[in-house]
Amino acid sequence: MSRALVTAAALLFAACSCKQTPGPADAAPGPAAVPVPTAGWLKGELPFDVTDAGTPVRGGTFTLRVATEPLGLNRLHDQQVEGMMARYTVGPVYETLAEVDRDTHPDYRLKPLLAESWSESPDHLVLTVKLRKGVKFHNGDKLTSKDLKATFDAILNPDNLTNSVRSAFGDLASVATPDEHTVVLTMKKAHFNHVRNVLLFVPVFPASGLKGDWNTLPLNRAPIGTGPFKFGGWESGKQLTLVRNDDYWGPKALLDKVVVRFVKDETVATQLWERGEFDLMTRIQPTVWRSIEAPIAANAWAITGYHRVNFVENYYQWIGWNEERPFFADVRVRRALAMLYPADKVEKNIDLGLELPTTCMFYRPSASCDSAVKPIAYDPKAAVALLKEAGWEDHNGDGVLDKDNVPFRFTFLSNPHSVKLGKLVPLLQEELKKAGIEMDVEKVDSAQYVGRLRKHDFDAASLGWANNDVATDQYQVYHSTQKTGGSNFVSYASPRADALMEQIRQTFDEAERAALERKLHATLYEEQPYLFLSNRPQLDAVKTHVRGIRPSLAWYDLKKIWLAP
Amino acid sequence: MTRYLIRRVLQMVPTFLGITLLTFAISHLTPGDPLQLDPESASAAAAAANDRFRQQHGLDLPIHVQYLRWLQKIVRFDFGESIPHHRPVSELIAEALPNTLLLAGCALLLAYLLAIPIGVHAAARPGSVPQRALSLTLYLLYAMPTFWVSVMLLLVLGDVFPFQGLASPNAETLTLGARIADTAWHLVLPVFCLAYPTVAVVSRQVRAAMEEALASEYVRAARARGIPARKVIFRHALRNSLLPVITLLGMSLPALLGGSVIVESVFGIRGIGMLAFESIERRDYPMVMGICTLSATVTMLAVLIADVLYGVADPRIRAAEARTTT
Repeated sequence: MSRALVTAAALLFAACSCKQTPGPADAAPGPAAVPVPTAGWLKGELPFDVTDAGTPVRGGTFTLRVATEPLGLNRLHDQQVEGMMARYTVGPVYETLAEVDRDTHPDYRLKPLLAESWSESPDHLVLTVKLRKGVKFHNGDKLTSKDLKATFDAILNPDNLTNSVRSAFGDLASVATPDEHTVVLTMKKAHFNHVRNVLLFVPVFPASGLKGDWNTLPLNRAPIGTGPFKFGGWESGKQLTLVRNDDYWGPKALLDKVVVRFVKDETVATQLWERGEFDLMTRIQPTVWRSIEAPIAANAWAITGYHRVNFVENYYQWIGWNEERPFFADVRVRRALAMLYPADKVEKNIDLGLELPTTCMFYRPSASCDSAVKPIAYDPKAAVALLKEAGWEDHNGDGVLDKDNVPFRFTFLSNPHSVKLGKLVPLLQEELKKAGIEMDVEKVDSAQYVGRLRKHDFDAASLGWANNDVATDQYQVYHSTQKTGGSNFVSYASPRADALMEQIRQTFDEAERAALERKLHATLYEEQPYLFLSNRPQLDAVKTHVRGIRPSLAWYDLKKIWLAP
Repeated sequence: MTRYLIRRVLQMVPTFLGITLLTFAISHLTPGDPLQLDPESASAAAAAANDRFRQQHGLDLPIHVQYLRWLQKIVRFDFGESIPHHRPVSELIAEALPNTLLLAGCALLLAYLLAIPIGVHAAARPGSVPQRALSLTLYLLYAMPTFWVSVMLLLVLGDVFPFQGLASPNAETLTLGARIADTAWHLVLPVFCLAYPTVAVVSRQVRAAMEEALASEYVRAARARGIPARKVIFRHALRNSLLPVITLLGMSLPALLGGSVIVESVFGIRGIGMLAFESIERRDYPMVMGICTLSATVTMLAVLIADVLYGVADPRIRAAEARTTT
């Protein structure tokens, strides 16, 4: 359900941007010669005077770099939605009924936005939302319940490519609008995450802008929302401009303009960043992140000119074992494979110490992860013993393990775009070979990758799951019914985990649910449907004159950012 | 000559059909799906919506029917609509084409303006020290891959020349003259990257052809008659060495439209190369076909023009054509 927010960027092991945590860093341009980075700078923590202190000043243009130019700016459209685009349009241009309170990391409580208030019936089937009065769209239309209704109609229309959002509303029975400012949503089934799905993930579009063919709506290229910024212009291949909405219903934004520069090539982006062209540089490559740390004059531009941001997202990478294959059906084999994974080598040589190895499928700092779960340690000897116990031994002396005359030989489906997989796969291949397992590699491009996973046409594969919110329903990924039609590509089926996930969906008390989620975390890790790899952090950099900026799971709040004179 | 031309143009029809049929088949038979680029589209609900989309766009029809439909449209110059962009293919091509033409046109012009004198000089003064140095440099340049050279240029000269796009952000406010200068300044690095491999190739061709011409009897005869060396080289030898160069030029013309993925991506220029590359990645069949049709047509026209130019450069060919066609 909330898995709807799982994005495709994951496929390339290249997500978007975000960070958090305050700390001290040297903002003043130091004595030119040899700049020394502070501890906070090295860790990627923004200093307090950047995040909170100072008297905001209006004006200025804020330029940020993003890697991907979207096909359109309609966050609800399957072909246009893209992780970063959703972030710089929803919030700044479009608004949702509520937003997450960025001050409540890592719980991220709800805070009213276009909804003044909301209430749920005791059986959790009916959600009544009171809309804020006096809100106007950028085209002058008044916000009414009709707009929300029209937005939901567009999402639920089976002819529209809106699957990524629609999948979160499979249980929605009806959307009623008793008056101009009241919307009543009725569900067929209760689900803990309905409220957050409705309040956080539906950007409200003006009803007048939704008339016509979904694929060619004018607002796909020139969005019309209610947010603190209006669409300013879009130069294909170059940049998108947002300008301050001076008719905004709430506290107005401080920046005059936000310019989103599309720079795909990482070398070029780094070069432009070094020349100071970006106030916010996103998605810094780990090698670059490390290379600018040396206290030498050549790094002065970064050390004295920028603050670094290293923020963990709700995103984890995994290697999945297709349980329809004879080797992977046995949990002992999957655990043995985890013992053969050279986590230390990967962390040091591939991740450069920047990723956080994980055992958890929930948001790392949240109460849903059980800190008592210990990672399976790298131990080739124990792995071999466990494989033997499962019946995998080299019976015929050809150097490859076998069982019932089936050799342990499989193919890893890899994506040539993933830098990390390119380095990780040969390493894993080597480790497995030593244990008598032969792993071949097949590289297919993105247009084929997901199709192959969906058809279960693979032995082993790797992806990442991302979620922009803390609340994550694991049902779509791990429940046995989700083998067909869901995202359970590995055909994992565990009665224990199934029961827990069903129970979680019906548990509305947060503490109680977190306890169940911790149990689910422990169960899933024990049964290893995936080899859980790591949480990938967002590595960004912010120019030292930027103020009021703070990373969060909901990205930066552009309306609060200002530039120190 | 006219009948020859008509015959040549008619020959282009089956060639065109062959090229487009092949491209159509290859692009559609490549595994992958324009609607399944991310894990989200893997759900059952998504599958239903995607099937509807396929029906609406005729993507579920047998491949030969799809090809015939495409052909029906293309003869009316209707390139169809891009699957992910939902905009007419012709519109997207029209957006990217001017950039590519400007870039490649300048590169081609520069390359030939440099390559011909270099080649002539090399043939006229074989073995001289500056000549050898130049040859070596050209060899080295030719051996260096464009992706590496472009990134190096950007790192070394990034402070001197602009390296993103073809105009400064404030270009609209400039006078016409200043705008032209601004664009020219932006063109320096990308044009160099596109031109240098051509310089290396073409100058070697010119040199080889010139050497052959200079060793021939008519040149010796011309020299014996006391015609100045300059005149011998440019009037007699060079003209006769131009045939292979014209062939090369004919073959370079399609590159004008093909664009360069590497140069366009490094220098942030929205051109045909990137458009084609992205379309293939996204399995945007109408877009792939549109670009293919364009470049197939240009290639065929270029070959035709080269053949006609042969006639202009060499009276013997003209005569032979006249004999066979009349």
